[in-house]
Amino acid sequence: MRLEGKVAIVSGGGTGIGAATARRFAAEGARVVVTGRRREPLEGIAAETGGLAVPGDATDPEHAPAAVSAAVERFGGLDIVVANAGVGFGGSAGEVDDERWARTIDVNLTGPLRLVRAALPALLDRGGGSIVLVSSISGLVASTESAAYMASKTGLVGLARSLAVDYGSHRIRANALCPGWVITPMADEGADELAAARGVTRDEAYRIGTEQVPLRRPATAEEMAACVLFLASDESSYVTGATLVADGGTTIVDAGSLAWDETP
Amino acid sequence: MSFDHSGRTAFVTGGGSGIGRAVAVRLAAEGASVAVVDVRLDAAQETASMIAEAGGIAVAFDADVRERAEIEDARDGALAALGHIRYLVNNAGLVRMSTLDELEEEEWDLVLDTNLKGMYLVTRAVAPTIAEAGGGAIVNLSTIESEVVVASQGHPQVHYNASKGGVKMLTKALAVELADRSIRVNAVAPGPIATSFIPGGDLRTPEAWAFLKERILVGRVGEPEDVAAAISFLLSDDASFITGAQLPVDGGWLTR
Repeated sequence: MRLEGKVAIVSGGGTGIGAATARRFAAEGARVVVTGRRREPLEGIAAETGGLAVPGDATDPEHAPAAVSAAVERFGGLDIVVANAGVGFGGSAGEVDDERWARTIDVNLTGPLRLVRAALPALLDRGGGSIVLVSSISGLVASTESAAYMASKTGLVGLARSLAVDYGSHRIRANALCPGWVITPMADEGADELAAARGVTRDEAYRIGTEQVPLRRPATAEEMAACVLFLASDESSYVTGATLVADGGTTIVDAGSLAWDETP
Repeated sequence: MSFDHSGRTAFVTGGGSGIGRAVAVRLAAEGASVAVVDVRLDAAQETASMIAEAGGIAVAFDADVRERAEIEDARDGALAALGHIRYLVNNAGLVRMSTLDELEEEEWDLVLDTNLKGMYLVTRAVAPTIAEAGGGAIVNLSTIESEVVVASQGHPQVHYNASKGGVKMLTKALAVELADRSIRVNAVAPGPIATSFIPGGDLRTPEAWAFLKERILVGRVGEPEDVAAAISFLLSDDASFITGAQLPVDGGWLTR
């Protein structure tokens, strides 16, 4: 068991990558606190993993301190922080209104900052720890009409580096994970938009959306949880400030050139 | 040990010392059978003996990665002894230091032929057997010096930098080409690791640390086992959606 005796907080832990991470962490011996907006899925995951659900909104300044306190009180400390909660709103820079911009930055970038800031004293108390910020390939390359999301996810890559530099001497590591297409409730919304536009099923939309990805498929949430686990565990003890790209090869290809492939 | 490699065979070049030995030992401890390949047969045999003593399965082969026939012999030997190959660790490499004005063509060729052409020759020989076995994974040894030039005053090495820059891009190109044969291809980029790789450079001395501590964020020099852990992860099914990536294992060197 790779996380024996460890305590972790996973934000956005009720669904998608967060839920898969909570399950994997628990299977590897960790005690897990899951946070998120909706109580019901969180409590389901908490019950399943023997963990603790702390519902709340990432934009509420009281939420992160409450989650950290709950972890320390219930499980005796904190070793791992996975900032995974995120929202996706579309829109080019000219289209995005202040409200959507602010909401995206608040949830996706300021939320992780608040969580990490609240967690640092507890990590320092343990003599170190590991922070994993779930960014996106939208933090590395452009997607169309996604100004706020791209800015927030690019910010997370910088935040991970900043944490690595400032807290390395305190034995706290920080890394960013950049997933590509992953089958999650959030990605389902995007797939459904494509499906509606093309008059196809959701599965077919995922296939169309990933046919130019070298691995020719989207990822599962479990595959991303395995990457989070590597970065959270001692197996990566010499890895910090890094950006782990887990995208099936999406960002290494000039995707447009693959459109001429005859691969079905 | 964390990753389950049971039932899989790994072909590890440069397996007679340093990171290559640590990877071979780790993969064997996690259940893999290992073909330990090194230009020095005695070094490969020593690694294989270490694995056997620990209860693992390994066979030693000697091959110079610059020599196609030698590589193909080692591959055929590995297939005969171990049945199939699912993993390839392209680890064999060397470093030489010369300023541009001193650098002779022979030394340029030695470094490029070993570090870059050797990786092509080994992959050319082994990838089809991985595909035949149903797919698998390749990890190439790059370095942080594929991204930045380190300490150029004391360590002039344009040929080494060029070879490893090539490895980074070779990794991406192979990842695209081999994806449809169910082979993932990734690289690790070690920072300073305490091996005998750097001529005359013992990284465990106080003098070395006085320089390194300014660049390494985690408070220690890396060990071959650190890199072996990252390679084991990238080979494993836990990394099943990672291909074409280069993962730094550098204590944070590239962060700033």
